Amino acid sequence: MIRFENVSKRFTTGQQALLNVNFSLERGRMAFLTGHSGAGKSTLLKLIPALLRPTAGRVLVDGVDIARLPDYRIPYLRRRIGLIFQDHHLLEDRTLYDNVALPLVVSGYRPAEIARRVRAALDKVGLLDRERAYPLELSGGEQQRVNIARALVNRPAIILADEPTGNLDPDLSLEIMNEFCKFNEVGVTVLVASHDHDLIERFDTPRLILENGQLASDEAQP
Amino acid sequence: MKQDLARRLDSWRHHHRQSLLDALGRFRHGPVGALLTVLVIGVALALPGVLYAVLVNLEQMSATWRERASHLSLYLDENIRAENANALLSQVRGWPEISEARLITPEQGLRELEERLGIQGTAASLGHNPLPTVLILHPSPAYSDSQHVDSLRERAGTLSGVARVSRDADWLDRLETILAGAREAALLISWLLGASVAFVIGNTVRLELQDRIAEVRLVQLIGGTRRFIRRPLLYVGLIQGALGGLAAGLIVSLMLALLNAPLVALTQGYGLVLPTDGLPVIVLASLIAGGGLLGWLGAWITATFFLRRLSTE
Repeated sequence: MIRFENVSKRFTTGQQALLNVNFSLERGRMAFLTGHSGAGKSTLLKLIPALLRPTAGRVLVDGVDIARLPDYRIPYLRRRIGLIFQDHHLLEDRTLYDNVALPLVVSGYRPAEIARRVRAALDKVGLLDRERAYPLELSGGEQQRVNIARALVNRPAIILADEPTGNLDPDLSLEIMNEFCKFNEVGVTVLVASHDHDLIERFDTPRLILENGQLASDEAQP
Repeated sequence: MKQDLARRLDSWRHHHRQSLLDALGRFRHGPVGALLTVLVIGVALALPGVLYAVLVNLEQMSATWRERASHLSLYLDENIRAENANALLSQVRGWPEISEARLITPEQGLRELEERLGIQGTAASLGHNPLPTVLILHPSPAYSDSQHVDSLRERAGTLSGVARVSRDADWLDRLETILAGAREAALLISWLLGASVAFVIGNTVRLELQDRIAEVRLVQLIGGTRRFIRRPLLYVGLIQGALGGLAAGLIVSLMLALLNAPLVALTQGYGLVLPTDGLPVIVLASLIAGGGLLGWLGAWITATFFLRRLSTE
């Protein structure tokens, strides 16, 4: 599903973020991406939905080399990927309902279908009764759950999460991670970047360990 | 496949409606800014609007005048005898390209002049009548284009007893040359001010995008196409531009109303009648359509470049 072949990424500032990374994550599998901050986790994740372009090597999603995708196809690639990124939060001037509905609006669904799917997604993260609330009325954990609802409302084949438990207390973190495992159980390919070792240790999910832009372990390989 | 196309067409229509509502919603949120933009566009479009309106009026007049002014005036020798003049009259009446010919004796000419100018006894004060005998030739409709009139003029000039032939439309030719030049100038000014309209709208759209940068980035992240993000902004440009065109139409009407009195006085002094209908409909329509188009274009260019730069950051 996701395959990196000798992928390197050097920023225009000269910083070498990734060097010769190889791994593959088969359809329906789940993996954790770990490593201390600055190891290149975010960069690696951003290469998958073509938010960044590799300077060398190939990134394949579902067999397609995304470097070969013309610009106008990229939105359609991103619609198949649910993203939960640290630096892309909720729109504060929209209700939870509207926030979660956004990926569907963007993909051109009709209002009736949108309503059905948004309620299902909010229900799944336990926030159905808060659909009229605004993000700032929610706790950090609730906001993160809305982020998750938004990422899965489009029924993506892949979910990528960058430090999804960043600011949450341990109980909540565990709960969120369990959510990801549940998505994986229904066939979604999941890649979660986290530096929370204590949390990751509690799962027997394969790990990709990044050290200074290089992959130290490739336990996710079959 | 067919069903998929129908669904996509349906969602496309739906998004157009949403974009339009979104664009209108933005006016409600920032009415003062939107109004100022509309006024700036109105003022910018007013100048080409006035020029265009004056040109349209003058061109209409020139066409009317040309219809009336295709005749030739043959000034006969000063001391030609009446029977010779009458002989000339019957001669030219035999020409196939003439639909009507008439003779104006110096006495008739003087009477007409006195009537028109509202003065009496000019001849008495001058001691003699200075006017020549004039033969007026009206070409038949088939021969009233300028080429035929010119050859007719040449032919009439060779008649004995004719001192000079004048074509009343000569000044119209000059007017039309001037009008053609003025049209070029108006076009050039329109291009410049039209570009300024596109820039004004472009700037509005850029501010709008910057204002909502978080939303734009998010929409790009979740698979919103450039077209999707751009569409409401195109409506913003279209609506603001068209409203600006309407504002320009109002300004032009006002200016024409103010200019009307002095213009009428001026043209009456030359014995001309100026049409005073105010703003021609074609000008108003052009202002609204042109404003809308420029607004759309300005929004498209700005949004496209902005989003392209954003996605390659």
